[in-house]
Amino acid sequence: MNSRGRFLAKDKCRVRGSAHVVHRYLILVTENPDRAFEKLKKAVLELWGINGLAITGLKQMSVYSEKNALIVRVEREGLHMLRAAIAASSEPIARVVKVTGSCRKAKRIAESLPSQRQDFKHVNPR
Amino acid sequence: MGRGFYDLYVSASCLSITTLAKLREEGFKGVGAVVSIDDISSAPDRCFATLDRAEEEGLSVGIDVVRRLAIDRQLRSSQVKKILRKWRRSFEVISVHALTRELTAFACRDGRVDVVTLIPGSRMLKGDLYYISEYSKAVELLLVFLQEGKPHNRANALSFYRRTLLTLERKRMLKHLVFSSGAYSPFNIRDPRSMASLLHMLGIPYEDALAALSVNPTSLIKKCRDKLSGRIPVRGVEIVDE
Repeated sequence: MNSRGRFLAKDKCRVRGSAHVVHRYLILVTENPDRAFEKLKKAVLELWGINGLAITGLKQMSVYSEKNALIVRVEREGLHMLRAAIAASSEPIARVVKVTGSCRKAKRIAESLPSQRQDFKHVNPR
Repeated sequence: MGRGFYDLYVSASCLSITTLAKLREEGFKGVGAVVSIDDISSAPDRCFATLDRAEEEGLSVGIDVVRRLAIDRQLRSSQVKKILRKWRRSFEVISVHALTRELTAFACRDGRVDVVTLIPGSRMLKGDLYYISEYSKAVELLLVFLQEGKPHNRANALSFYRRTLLTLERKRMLKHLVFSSGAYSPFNIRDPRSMASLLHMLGIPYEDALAALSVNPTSLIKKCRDKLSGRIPVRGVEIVDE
């Protein structure tokens, strides 16, 4: 604290302690962006369990229906877990276009994607 | 310059132009078009026509299609020798599924086999690993066993892969590891970095996991093509252009 009783920047860091969490933002392209987030959570839960879901800390940030894209936030420690769950899922959930460190950049990339992407042209027989 | 990812095991029958385009979008540079031993024995002309078509379409899309024969049936070593004598020069990569001990030992020992594909339950002994290292073969794991089946079977597969990876890491043989999708339909294909993340979560460094999808299959394909073209006439000898 300084003489006026205000916290200095270094004190703020000390007060915050280890609560600082780093996130990564994934831009995903999928057939059905409205249901993709639930499928992602289910895939993580199936492969890594409740603890895995907690470590990944998934949150849906934005959905771009006209571009078949969505942005998902994940904790940095859970990034590989999420990608592994996408790989090991029994049905294709989404394709990861880019992983960024900031939400703003993720939104810029998602907005630059062409509209009405048809990546998954096949009809899933299941 | 980015990495060139290869998916060395995709069934040739599902390699249409849309699947090849999808592979390109996922980030793959090349794919192994696999023909199984049953198909090549029953209808070889149709198999080669499928491979030719896949190669042409791959060229138009920008995907390098590698011809591959997978011996995925339980056979005696004498039968496998006959198959290798007949089809060795028609395919760029030949692999054997490690279904029995006899087949695994033969595949590791024979210089004509390039890849030994491990399936959950395969047993590899110290001597097999020695031959793999000596003859610069590849040990392949398939993603499809982790995607399909009952949860118990998938858990067994995961456990087997974890043990195998730890063994390879302990023996310093991760450069022989290749990870493929084993896809028989377009729905089994996943992007390469997600596949690498899965390998990394099973206990190997991320760089080695990426190499299992890029550097290792690329060097294997180059070596196999050099052997077929005559640049490597015998093991240990390479003809260098002057």
